[in-house]
Amino acid sequence: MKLRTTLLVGGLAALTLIATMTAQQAAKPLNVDANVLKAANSPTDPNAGLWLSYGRSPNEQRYSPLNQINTANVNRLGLSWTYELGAGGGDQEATPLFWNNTLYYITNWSVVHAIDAKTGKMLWKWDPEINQQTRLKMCCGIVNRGIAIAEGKIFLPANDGRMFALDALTGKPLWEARVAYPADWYSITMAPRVAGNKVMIGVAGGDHPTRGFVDAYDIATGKRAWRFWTVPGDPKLGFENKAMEAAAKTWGGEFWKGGGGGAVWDGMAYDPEANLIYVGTGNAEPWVEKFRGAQGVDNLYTCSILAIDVTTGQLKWHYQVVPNDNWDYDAVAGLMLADLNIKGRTRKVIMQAPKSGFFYVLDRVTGELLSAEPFTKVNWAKGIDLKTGRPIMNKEAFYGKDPVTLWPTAGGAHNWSPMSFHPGTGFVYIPTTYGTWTFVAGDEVVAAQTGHTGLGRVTGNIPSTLPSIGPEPMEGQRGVLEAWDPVNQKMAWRVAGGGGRYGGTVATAGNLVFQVINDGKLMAYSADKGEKLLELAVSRTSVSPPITYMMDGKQYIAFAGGAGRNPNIEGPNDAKIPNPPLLFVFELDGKGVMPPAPLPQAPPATPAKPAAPAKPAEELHN
Amino acid sequence: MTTFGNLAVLSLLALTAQAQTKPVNVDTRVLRNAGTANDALAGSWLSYGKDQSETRYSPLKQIDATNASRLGLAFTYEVGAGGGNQEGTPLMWNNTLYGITTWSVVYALDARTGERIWRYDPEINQIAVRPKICCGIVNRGIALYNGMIIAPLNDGRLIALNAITGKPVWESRVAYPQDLFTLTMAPRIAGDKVIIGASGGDRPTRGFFAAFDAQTGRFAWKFYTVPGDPSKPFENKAMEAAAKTWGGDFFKNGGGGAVWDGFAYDPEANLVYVGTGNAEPWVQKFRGAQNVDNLYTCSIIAVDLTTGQYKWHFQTTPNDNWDFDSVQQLMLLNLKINGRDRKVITQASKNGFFWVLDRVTGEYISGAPFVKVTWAKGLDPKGRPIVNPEAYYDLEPVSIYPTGGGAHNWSPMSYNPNTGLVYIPSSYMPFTYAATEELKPGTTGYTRGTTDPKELPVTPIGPIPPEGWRAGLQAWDPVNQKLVWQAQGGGGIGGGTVTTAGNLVFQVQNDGVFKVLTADKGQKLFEVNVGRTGMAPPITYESSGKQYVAFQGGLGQPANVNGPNDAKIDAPPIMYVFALDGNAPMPKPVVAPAKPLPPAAPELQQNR
Repeated sequence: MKLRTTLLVGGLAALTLIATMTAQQAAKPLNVDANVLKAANSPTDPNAGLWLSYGRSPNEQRYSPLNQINTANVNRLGLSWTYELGAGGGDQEATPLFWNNTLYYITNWSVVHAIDAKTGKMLWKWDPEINQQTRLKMCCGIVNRGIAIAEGKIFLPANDGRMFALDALTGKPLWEARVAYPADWYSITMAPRVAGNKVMIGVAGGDHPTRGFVDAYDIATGKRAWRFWTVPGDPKLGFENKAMEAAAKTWGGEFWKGGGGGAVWDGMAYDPEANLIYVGTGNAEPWVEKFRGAQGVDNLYTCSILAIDVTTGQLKWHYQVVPNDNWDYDAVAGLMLADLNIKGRTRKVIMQAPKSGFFYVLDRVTGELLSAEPFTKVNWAKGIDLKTGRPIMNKEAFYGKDPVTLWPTAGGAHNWSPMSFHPGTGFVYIPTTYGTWTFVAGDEVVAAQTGHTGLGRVTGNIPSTLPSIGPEPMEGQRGVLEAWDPVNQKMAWRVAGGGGRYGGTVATAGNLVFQVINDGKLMAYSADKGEKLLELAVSRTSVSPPITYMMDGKQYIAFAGGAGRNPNIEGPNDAKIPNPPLLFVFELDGKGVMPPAPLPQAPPATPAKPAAPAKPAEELHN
Repeated sequence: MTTFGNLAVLSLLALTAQAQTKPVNVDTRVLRNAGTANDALAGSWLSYGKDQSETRYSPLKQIDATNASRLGLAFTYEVGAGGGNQEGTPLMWNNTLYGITTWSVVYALDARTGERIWRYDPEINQIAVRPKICCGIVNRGIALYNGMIIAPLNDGRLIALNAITGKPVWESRVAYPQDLFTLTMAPRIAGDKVIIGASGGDRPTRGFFAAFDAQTGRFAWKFYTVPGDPSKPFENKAMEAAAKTWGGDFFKNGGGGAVWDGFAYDPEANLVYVGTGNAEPWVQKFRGAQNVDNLYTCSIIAVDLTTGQYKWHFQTTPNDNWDFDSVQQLMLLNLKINGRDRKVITQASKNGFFWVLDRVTGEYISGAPFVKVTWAKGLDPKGRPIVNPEAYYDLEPVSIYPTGGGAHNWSPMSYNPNTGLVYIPSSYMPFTYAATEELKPGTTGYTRGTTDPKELPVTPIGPIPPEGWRAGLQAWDPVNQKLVWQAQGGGGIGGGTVTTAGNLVFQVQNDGVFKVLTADKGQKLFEVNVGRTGMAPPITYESSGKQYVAFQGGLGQPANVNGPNDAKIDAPPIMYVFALDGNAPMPKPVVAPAKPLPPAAPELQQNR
């Protein structure tokens, strides 16, 4: 009897334990650890319905294995719900995340919203309360491109140079790190990326006198693990590492006084096996070489792809996309990792379609250039020499006092708008711009809010006369979506719309490519052939890249749009305004009601006096 | 916590050393020796209270009772656009005068000429932070350590700046304005740590203070002053004990106990002392349970510097209902009391009592009203106030002495070892209290009431001020607990003092009057009105063989104007520096603004 009682009690305890555990398990969300993040690289990702990092996976392919929405039914997509994102003050550029039935989105002034994906209601919101005077230091709009998640924390980059870890369930800050100061012309716009036990972030500011860098922080404590400068500092103060010593040989004069540039403001990818983080760097600063201390030198590591050891923060290899940049040809566009069969060999590659207009494929372990071909109309260079990896320059591209018009535009053949990769078709879907820019050197470097470029003023329309390579534009189209075959370096198909800024994409196992278009449209194309299957208008422009996710067995598409308040107006980020930016969520047969489009905004009562832009701000982006 | 490279600071110091005579590095030892016979920099002003005992006594005597009348303006410096009172105590080191002004802007001047060396603006979000600061956009001071100026920022950050260049060295987060906290007090160096508390005790906040490694900014420990939700584990035994003095859902309103001003450090005892603020909400009926003490609000607390653990406490106002913060200046003295040498800690609290406690054990030695007091009829043998029951007001307004703004507030008192007197800027005013029926969000449960307040039907205790005096400077004998002399003017906010070996007390009143009195007798030797209001306390220092007196003053632009902190305005706040025979021109006085802001509740302006 005694034994029996014990057994009974024991049994009850066990039952209770199981019940409790199940309840806890049901309540306890999946912990996003290094393995979970890494598994997102696989087409058989067990968490295929989630979107856990900026590029969905560390290889940044923006490919979702979901196929409930596919070519057969995508035309049935309809609005599920919308959510108001506050007062705005700039474009929506952020990629949302989806985890634990929650959508996370970072909007203007770095305010993060956690939204119950089942109800569309706010769970929490956290506002870092940035001094909006910071806008005077931000060259190209008050924007944030994303956040990161790991170990129950949301990593929030604040425009004013701070990074926070928030409790993903409550939104309360767990740590805060100072990355850089706006007083030094730095800001943060890019999405942080998690690599192992670190979170990486770079700084914008490369059109101002800044020295670019990327930082790694311990995800548990916020303690800075390392900083990698992308350009050398004053040699008199000593070099931080051998990479800086080597780079300094590619600069001359008192180059450090202009900062040097090399901002890290968008593209990153992470290879857990190689333990490398890949980083794209921005233009040399000032833009015009004659203001950078010496001419005809490479200015490492501007406009480059860098491979950095995650543990040590030391440079493993670099590839400079544009040596001696004079054209704002940042190499910061999305970096994408894939294993491709090239000439019968499986190669671990890294790919980029940067502003310069060439599509580059490199061995990501060694940095060896495998191929590079123009994906848009290009005439600053005649091609890329695969032996040296260097562009074969059109000498006339080095403009002086006489204006020169070049393809592609300084805004980039492809800018920050995410491209995506479909392992089934083998294509990369690139939001592409066909455009020109007229460059002329100024007499001096004049500081302006939009930059510190050294450019002169261009009057009149200067035609581009240099011989070009690459595809000609589609008739009357500046922006197109291109399906690019990276193995054979050729275009598979293209359709009009979108462009290098705005026009972000996601590819899915449903043989689909979704693209947003900045005038407020969501498009879907068949991934293999580019057949248009959906064109859906939303009531906001300035739209962020889409994601797709699955919840309770149903697939959704989500993105945000709307600029909100005039950026020159300071005010609380939760102010009620007539045209708030919105988060849009779509599902098959969604019957949600689209909020009305905002009326045209009245200009601010007392317009702030922005510094005269050196160039149309719309084109600049960094 | 972020470190930008302390090596850079040290090498810069080295560089400076090569260029000029090498400044004495202000490290743990130099700070510990300040105010002792081994003081290496007696003519400097290295910390908020001049020394770690916070006496604000300077051994300088170039300016003395025979020549103080020759004081004149040596130079001035416009500190910026302002937007609130000046409350910051400057520091002086390495012939450099360091100040902190409105919106936590820090600056460094040549202490002999007023020429600017650097200026650092943390660019605080004024729109977001202003509504979180209950009582004016103010900063009371900065700390100096190992070549760094450590500045508290109103938006809850603590930042270390290279003292030579003004560039950030590290930055740490103390608290968030999003949680209704701000920083106004001066950080203090204790050992190798820097310590600071957060303001916000008139809002639903849970008071605390925290220690950071002074060299790196790394967080060391945090001591809460009131318990949190008892359904969660207590942080320490002190919180468990304190929770027994609260009832109901007290934690939902935070509890208060903000640490926003007074601090002292005894290196021998390895103890740091803080004062804590009012209980929150003000009115006990809104705090979950009535007639309980609400530890550790309105208290003096001793905490072990190394561990951050509780050592002792003394509550100056149990069950506070009157905003009687006990955060005022804490001063460590060695006094002979009843024939015994005692290591004491003293405070002249808002509630009107002057306290003398054993600083090692926390034992009560003596307490006495230093102004007219009606809320209590006296103290029991252990120093616990015997409260007049009528003072527990409800809906019916009552008038109580002293004011909720405090018999003494943040304005620094000082102690002269030669006279044995403490010079207390004191306020003699009453305050009207009434409770609201229910607690509305964003309020303290207090209202001024709508009818004429009744004075409490009790016999006041303490010295009755001369007819018509609203405020006075009181020379108080802490051993015998009695008033020795008093001089009209000054008061609980504004009116800060410094006393010197020249038998002088310097006082700066909030109305712009700078005056000099003899320390022993209170004879007025010099008086000038500088033409500003919102005045900070003075310091005195010696630079290149000359003694100076320096203080900031002026409100600057209206507090509700958003604008750059370096905007040029008509009547900016100014750093005034006086010396013997100084003959610099006095900046033109402020004319009253055309449209003054409607004062919300003047008394509230005095509570931090």
